[in-house]
Amino acid sequence: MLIFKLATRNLFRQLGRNALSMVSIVMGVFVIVAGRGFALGLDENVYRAQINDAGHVIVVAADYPKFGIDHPIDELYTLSESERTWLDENTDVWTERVVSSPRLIKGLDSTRVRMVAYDAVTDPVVFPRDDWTLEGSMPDPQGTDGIVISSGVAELLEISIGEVIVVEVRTADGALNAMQLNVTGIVNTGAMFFDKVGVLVPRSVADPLLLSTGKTSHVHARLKNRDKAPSWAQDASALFGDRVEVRTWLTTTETLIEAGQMRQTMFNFIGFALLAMAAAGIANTVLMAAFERTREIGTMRALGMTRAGVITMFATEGGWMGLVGGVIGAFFGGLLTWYYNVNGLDMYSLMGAKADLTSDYPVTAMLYLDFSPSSLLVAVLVAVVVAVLASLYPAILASQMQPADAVRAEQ
Amino acid sequence: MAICELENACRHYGSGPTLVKALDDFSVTFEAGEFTVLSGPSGSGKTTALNLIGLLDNPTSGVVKIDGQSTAGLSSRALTEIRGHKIGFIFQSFNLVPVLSALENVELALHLSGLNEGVTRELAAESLAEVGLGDLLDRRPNQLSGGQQQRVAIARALVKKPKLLIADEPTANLDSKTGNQVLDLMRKLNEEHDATFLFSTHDPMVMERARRVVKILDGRLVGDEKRGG
Repeated sequence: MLIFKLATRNLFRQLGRNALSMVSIVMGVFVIVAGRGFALGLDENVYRAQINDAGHVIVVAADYPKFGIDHPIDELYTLSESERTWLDENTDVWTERVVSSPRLIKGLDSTRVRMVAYDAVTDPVVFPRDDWTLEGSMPDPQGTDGIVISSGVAELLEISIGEVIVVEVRTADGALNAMQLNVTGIVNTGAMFFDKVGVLVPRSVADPLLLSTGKTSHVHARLKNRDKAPSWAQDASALFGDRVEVRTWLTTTETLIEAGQMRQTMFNFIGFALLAMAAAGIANTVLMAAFERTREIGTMRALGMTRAGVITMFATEGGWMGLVGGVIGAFFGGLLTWYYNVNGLDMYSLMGAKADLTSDYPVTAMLYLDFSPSSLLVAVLVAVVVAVLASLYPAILASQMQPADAVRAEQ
Repeated sequence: MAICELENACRHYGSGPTLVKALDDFSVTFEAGEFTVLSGPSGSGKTTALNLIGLLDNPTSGVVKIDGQSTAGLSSRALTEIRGHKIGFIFQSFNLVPVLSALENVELALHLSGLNEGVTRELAAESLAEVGLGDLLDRRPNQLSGGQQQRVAIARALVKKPKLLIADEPTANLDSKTGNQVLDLMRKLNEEHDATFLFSTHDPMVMERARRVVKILDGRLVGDEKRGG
C-alpha cells in the first residue's frame, strides 16, 4: 500500500507536466466513447428508420428503383389469392402500397414528389403513426380528393392546409392524368427523406388517378421476429417468382451499416491514435521523472526495493495517469452520449440542408446516441493498460540503474 | 563475530591505459558492535569500499562476506534481500523521500524488508521517538532541519535492526554542533543496540569519536587503529 501511496503522491510532484500528459488520454477516451455512441446510435437509427419506412420485409415489383423518386408506375403487380393467404399466415401484419412519382403543382410552381398510396385499414397497423406530427388531419379513407403532404413539400411550395393542388401523374397504362386534391394535413413522419419529398393519399384517391386498382408496387410486412427476415425472404422469393424482388430490412441497410462500421473504425482509429500519442507523452513524462528521481531510486534500492518494485512504482504512476485521464475522458464522453441518448440529436438541424431530393438515406429526425456504461469501463481500462504499457520502458530503465551510482546522483 | 569481511577485494574501472583501481586488494574485517571510521582523503576509495560492503556494487575480484555469508555470485534479488534485512544506510544528503512524512519514510524501510503495514507504523513511531523526533512524525522532509532529517535517516536505518549500519559522511552536510549531536546519538544507539556502525569520513572530529579507524589511501588499506572507549 505504501508503494501505491508513494506513486500517487509522486503524481503531484510535477502536476502540470503530468496533467499535460493526461490531456491526450482524456481526448482519446472521449473520442472513443463519443464516437462509439454516435456510430452505434446511427446504426440503430438507420435500422429504425428503415423499419419505420419499409417494415421488416418488402416485396417490390422487379426492377423497381431502390432509391430516389423515379418510380415507374408500369411495373406494378397483382397479388393472387394464394399469395394473400400466405402473407396472412406468414407475417404479423402486412399492407400493400402503390408508390409513384407524380408532379405536384401549385400555381406556377411544381415539384416531383414521392406519392405513397396506402390502404387506410392495414397501413397504420404496419406503420404506426404514434411518432408522427400531423397538422390538420388524414384524408377521409373513403374520400376521393384528400391528400396529406410532408412538411418539406409544404415548405417548398408554400402550401397550407385547405389549399387545392394539382397532382399530375403517368398512369399504369402510361397515359397522363391529373387531379385536383385538397390538402387535409401536413405531416412530419420522422423519416427524413419522406419528410422532404413525400405525400400520402389513400387508395380511394390513388387508384382512379393511377388506374392501379387491384395492383401493388410494394408489399410491406412486419414479422413476429425481425431476425427471421432472411429465411422469410427465401420462402417469399420461391412463392412470388421473378416478377418481384424481396428485400429485407437487413439487405436494404447493409451498405449503410457497413458505412457505419467504417465510421466506427475511423472513430476508433482516431481514438487509438490519440492514445498512442498519449502513450508517448506518458513514456516521456515517466522517463523524466525517473531521471529526476535517480537518487531516490538508488535510496530505495539500498533500502531493499527490488527491480520489480521500482518497475511497479513507475508503472503505477503511469497507471494513475491513465486512470485519471481515462475517467475524465469517459465522464465527458459518457455525459455527451447519455445526454443525446435521453434527449436525441436533431438530425434535421445537422443534415437538413444536405438531405437533397435524390438521396434516400434512411435516418429518422432524432438520432439517439448509444449509451453503454460497460463501454465507459472498457475505455477507462484501455486507457490504464495503454498508460501502464507506456510506463514500462522508462520503469525498466529506472530499475536497471546501479544503486551505487544512483544513490549519490546529483538532484 | 565478524559481521563483514572483505577478502582481497578489488574494484577496477575501465581497462588498459584508462584503468582505474578504485579499490585494490583490500582486506578488512568488521566485528559485531564496532564503531568504526573508514578514513582517507577524497578519492581514496572510501565510498567504493562502502559500496561493496553495502552490496550496492560488486567487486571486480575478491570476496565480500556479510554475517559470514559470501555474496559472490548472488543474484540482484538475493543481494537486495540481504540489504533489506541486514544492512542499514545513512547518507550524507539524508536521501529522504520528499513526498513521504518522517513516519512514512521510516515505515518505507520496514515495508521494503517485507513487514506488513499493521506492524510498521508502530515500529517506525518507536524508532523516531528513540532519535528524539516522536512529536514530528507527520512532518515532511522539507519541514525539518538538516539535523532532524539526518535523525529521520538514522531512525530509518535502525528501525529494521540491521546487523550493520553504513554511514557515508553522515555529518558532512551538518554544522558542527548538529554533527556532534548526531554522532552522540549514533554512539548511544551503538551501545544500546549493539549495532555495528561503519562511517566514511575525513572529518577529524568524527575520527576522534571512533573506537576503530581504518585508513585507506589510493584504494589500499594503509592503517587500522583500534582505540579504547
